[in-house]
Amino acid sequence: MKRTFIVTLIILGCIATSVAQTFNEQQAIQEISKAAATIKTLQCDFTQTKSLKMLGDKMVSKGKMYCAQPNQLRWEYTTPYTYTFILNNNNVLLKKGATSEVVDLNQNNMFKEIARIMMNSVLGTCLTDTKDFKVGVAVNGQQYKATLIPLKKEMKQMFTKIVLTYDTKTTLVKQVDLFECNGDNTTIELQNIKKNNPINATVFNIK
Amino acid sequence: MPLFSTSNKRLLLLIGICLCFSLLITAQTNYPTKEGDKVRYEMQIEFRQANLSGICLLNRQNDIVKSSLVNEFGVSLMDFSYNELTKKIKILHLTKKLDRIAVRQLLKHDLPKVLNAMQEGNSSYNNKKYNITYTFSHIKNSEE
Repeated sequence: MKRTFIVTLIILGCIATSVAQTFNEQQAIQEISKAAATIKTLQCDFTQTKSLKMLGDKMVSKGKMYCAQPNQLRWEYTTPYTYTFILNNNNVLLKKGATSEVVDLNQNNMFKEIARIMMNSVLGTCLTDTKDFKVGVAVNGQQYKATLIPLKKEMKQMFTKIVLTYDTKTTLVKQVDLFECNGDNTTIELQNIKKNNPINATVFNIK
Repeated sequence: MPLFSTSNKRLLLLIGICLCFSLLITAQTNYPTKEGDKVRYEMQIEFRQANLSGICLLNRQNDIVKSSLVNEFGVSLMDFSYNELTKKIKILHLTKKLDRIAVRQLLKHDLPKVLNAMQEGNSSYNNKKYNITYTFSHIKNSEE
């Protein structure tokens, strides 16, 4: 009788813990999605640290990011090299030094996917996108950690997982970790994040 | 009494010229020559109507130069090593999109020439047979 009682207690405990975890996860996703819906613009500085397993080395690049709903993004590296990626609705501009290239997303599905995933990751809306990733969220003190496991073939070939870290106060992404199939990983830390500050439209010019 | 004789002056001048020349060569060739040396290049590969750009990182370990090519967003495109004694390239990783036997063979042929061009202080190498141009420029003051 005692044994049955203890086993029942353990089972009940497990169920309660799993319900609590599920609740926290759903609550976190809801909070993040709710916050993402209020984002009109976002701008920040970023530091990208690429860790290369084979070289046992790191490469640090820095830059600026500007984003405006629904479909504008400027991702600009300023040091130690210059490279600019601008998404403006159906076009992408890639600018490196004096050379630039405009890609029409309607004629390039791969770029269309990249642009969509970049926007969704920055805004945090990828958590509800079940087509691209299997999502799990863990609450860890002052931050939410969302682990995204790629489901699509093209993404699976590049990344084993992507981890987005959110500040629980602002519910904004503050760090992105990309884990690659060859053992390399890239950490992008977002700093000086400004939400809904006006952004000059010329920032997204494709010329 | 003069501090240096005429022959000594000539010798010193010659040594000075040699030193300047060797410094000039060192400054122009950005290539890892010593154990632990690290060099970074911006690299562009143009072929047919497409082009691929990224950052090429070179590190020396003994007689082997190890290298990774990553795109500007930090995604790995290729890892390879070059044995300077055997003059052979070993492709250690190639992104799935490029992982074809023909591409591997082409890279094994071209990469020693690209590294050689870097050693000689050149900024490009052209594979005339397939009209592929590798352009590279040294990244100064890169953060480690």
